[in-house]
Amino acid sequence: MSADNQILLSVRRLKKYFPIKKGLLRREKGQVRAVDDVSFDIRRGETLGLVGESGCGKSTVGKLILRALKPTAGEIIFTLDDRQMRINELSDTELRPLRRHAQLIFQDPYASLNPRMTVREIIGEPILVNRETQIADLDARVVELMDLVGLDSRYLRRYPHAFSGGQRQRIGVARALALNPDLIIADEPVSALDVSIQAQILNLLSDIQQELELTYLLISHDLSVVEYVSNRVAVMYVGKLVELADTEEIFRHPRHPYTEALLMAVPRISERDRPETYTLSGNVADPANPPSGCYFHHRCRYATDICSTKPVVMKQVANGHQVACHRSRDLSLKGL
Amino acid sequence: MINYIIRRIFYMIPTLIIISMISFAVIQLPPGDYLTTKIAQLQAQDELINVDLIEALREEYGLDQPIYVQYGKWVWNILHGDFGYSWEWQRPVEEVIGERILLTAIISFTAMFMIYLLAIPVGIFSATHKYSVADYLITIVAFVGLALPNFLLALLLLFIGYVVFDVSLVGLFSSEFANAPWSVAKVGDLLKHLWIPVIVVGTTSTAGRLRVMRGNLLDELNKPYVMAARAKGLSEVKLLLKYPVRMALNPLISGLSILLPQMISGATITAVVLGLPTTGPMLLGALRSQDVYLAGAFILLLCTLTVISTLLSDILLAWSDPRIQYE
Amino acid sequence: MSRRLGISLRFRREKSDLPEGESYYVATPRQLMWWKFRKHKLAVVALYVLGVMYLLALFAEFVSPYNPNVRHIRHLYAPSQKIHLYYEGRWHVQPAVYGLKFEIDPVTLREKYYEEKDKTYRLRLFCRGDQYRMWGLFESDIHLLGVEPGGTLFLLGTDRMGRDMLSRIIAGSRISLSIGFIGIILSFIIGLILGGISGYFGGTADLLIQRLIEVMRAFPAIPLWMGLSAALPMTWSPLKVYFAITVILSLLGWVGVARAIRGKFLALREEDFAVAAYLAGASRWRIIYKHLLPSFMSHIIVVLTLRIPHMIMGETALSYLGLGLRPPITSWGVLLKECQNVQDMAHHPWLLLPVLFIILVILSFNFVGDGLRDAADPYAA
Repeated sequence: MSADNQILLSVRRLKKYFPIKKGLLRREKGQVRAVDDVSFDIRRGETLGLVGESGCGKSTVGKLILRALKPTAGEIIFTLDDRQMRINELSDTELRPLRRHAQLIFQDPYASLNPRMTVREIIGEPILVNRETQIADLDARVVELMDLVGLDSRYLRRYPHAFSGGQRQRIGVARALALNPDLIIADEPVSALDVSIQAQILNLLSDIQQELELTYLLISHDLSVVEYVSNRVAVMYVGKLVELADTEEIFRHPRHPYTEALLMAVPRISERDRPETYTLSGNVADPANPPSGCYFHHRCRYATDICSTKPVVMKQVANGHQVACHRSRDLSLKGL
Repeated sequence: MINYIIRRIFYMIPTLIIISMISFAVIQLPPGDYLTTKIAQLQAQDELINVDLIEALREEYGLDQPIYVQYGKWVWNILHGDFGYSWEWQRPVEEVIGERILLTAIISFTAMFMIYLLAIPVGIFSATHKYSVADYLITIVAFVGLALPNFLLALLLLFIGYVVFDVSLVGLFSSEFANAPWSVAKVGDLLKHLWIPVIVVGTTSTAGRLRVMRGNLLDELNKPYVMAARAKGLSEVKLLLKYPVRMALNPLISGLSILLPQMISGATITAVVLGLPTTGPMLLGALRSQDVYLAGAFILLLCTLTVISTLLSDILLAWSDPRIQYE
Repeated sequence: MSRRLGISLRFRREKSDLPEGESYYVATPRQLMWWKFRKHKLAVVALYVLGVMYLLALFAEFVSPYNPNVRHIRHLYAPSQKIHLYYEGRWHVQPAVYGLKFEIDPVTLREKYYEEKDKTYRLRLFCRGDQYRMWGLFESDIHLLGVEPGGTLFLLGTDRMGRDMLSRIIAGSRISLSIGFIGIILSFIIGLILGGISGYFGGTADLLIQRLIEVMRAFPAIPLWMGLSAALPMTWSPLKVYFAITVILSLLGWVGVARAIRGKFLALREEDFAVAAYLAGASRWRIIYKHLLPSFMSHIIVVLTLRIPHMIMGETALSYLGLGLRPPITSWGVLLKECQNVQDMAHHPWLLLPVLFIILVILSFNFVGDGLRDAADPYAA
């Protein structure tokens, strides 16, 4: 990865609340705090993994960055060579330049490709609508992209129904690359694929990252996927970040009990690799009605009185290692 | 739930206002008005005109005033139980239509009852005996039933009744009861005649619901939980009635609310073909002779009837299916 | 079982029926749908039936043996004539009809017709007959089928005024079938605009349109149609009345279409591929016409196909009641107006023949709709 450590994307105190409407006059009776005060940076050329259980708000973070959703509060700042884009402030028309710089890879390779369009139309659409290339050169560019992601360019005129899940995901990757973006947000890019195909797609993602100097935000619930490709990992729980550190660091020395519990759940080939296992009990907190104090306290086996009363904030505990836990200093948690 | 009902009633108000406006438009659309036409006719026949009466009526309904005043007066009068005056029948509208609306409602509700009584069991049978000879026969009959508009079915029944069985299927009462006051015997006579219009009005919808029931049940029977229940050794009948049938019934219950408008619509034209003493022929006559208050009252009442029953069926649905959100 | 009975209402999809290899991989959505539709045999048959009906309607003047408005005064209420291949004592290749002899029954005072076996008239193709003006463009007197001079050819009998029923039914099909088509196009346009606004933009517009749809759904169609069409001035020209009736029928017809479009819009708007197009920078308009419209068009066509019968029934019903189209326009409903009392029907059952055509057309539309529904989403497993 490039070593200049330049920050590409900066997310500051990002919030997204969905209103709950009830009653005769449909008054707002509450909010679902899908993303609640999340801050992190992504450096140019790195892969940041964002992990958490389903429903924790990690996909919402991805959609907010691409402005498929409008944030309730907070800042998203995109730094290009010459200028900064404050994504949270842009209007619909001002958003269009962003599309050249940030793209999304979808989870479901079936739903994300329009079955009524050929491969050529699907991959070519971003180029066409952004008038990147002359129409005459469109085919050449699409073929180039297909080569890049390992698709046979003879399939140009085929429809998605002709392809397997893995091949479809390659089409999705090619579409995301079509505009030469700087940042790619991959939202569970392999979770819908067979395990044997997952590695192929992950390898493809890291190959093109090297080749095109891409930056990734990899959203996944699967820690082994994240471990495989990420430089740094952020852990999310009920709309909040609870831990952020280098991959190596977080897997070896987690500082948050939730991270520890997640790591316990990662399957290992031999049980000898694992000093001890335990499984989380209880349910994920309700983001519409979160508990007091630390949202994790009722499931945490290390919880003390302070955990149920005093809210937690992210704190730097070591170089580049942030954690939101009252007891992070006195616990010694086990990694892998 | 209470909240839900209140909101639904609340929503009914704009609906009723629009209905009243459309009904009034029907009254107003024909060029000229009944009085002008009538006066011209009477004058042509050199008859004596009760000028005072006509002037009084003109005054009462504001025929000389702008349209919104007329509309306002009309609505105001209706809210006080006065539906206007039927020129044709020389009587207040509400006196003329009461019994006819009631008979229309009886036919429509009986038809609805028949539809569900037939469609559900036959649909279940058809689904559980998929691709059997009986299923094919039911399917063919259902498709033909779907393709038969009410009044054509009425025509064909009339024709077959007359040619094959030499009976007249016209009317809702035998001649001796037609103008008799209501009595037990008259009700019995009504029941004897009721089945023809009920069949006519209900056939198309029965066929439709039957197909829906069959399709839904087949979808339901393909679901894994049915296999799980079967694997556990549940008896077939119990298995069928416990969940799949209940699930398949839901769209039928929610379809209840649009069924009544269809029934009333069908009953109207069927009544014309079969010469029933219900709303149909009188509405037709009123429209032809521009007896506007009578026609307007019919349309208003028929529409209101359907809106209220839509409300009732929605409440019934919300009550029967806890998954329906009251929001 | 189905094969043994010779009827097959619905076929399960079998992979082997699809073409293999490249032709399948590059098959357009339309091709896939056609492959799927083809398997619904009854729908295919129904499609052909409709094709023939619409062709007849299109070339009505040419295919009908007579001018539908010409009165054959000597042949009032004539029954349908039979076509014979065996006449003049031997078999022939060229079919012929016998002459019709007319008598008043002294007892019932009704007209009675006999075949005059000694007078045969051969049928002819491309025969000269009544003058007509094809599509208002050019004059001709060539009819597809005719009979030798002196004979009559009333294959489906004649009506009260001695007009040929077959010619009248064909002429009526032009009105009855086209009113369904134009009405549904009108409904579609209204439904697409309102349903599209409601589904894509949501918010207050959605709320208002939703309410409107609810109100319209609560209306009993026939009384409303009756009220509105009774208001049409008697002085209007037939063409004006025709369009007015079409508009009246569409007034309720759009509701179902709008509901379907709104539902599909809401569902598709959230589909990943629509989001992908949005994130690719596609304009709202491009997303609608390139991604959403093609995806739900097939479903909407199903809804439209199944609504056409309602339009046809509506016209027929109104005309039957005397509130819709009026003579000199000929439609199936106008023809059925002759069947006002049961004695007439009993003595001249051929007056009821338009009913068969109406049923055939409605049945065909239902079958085609059924087949289209199966084919509407060719990507479903």
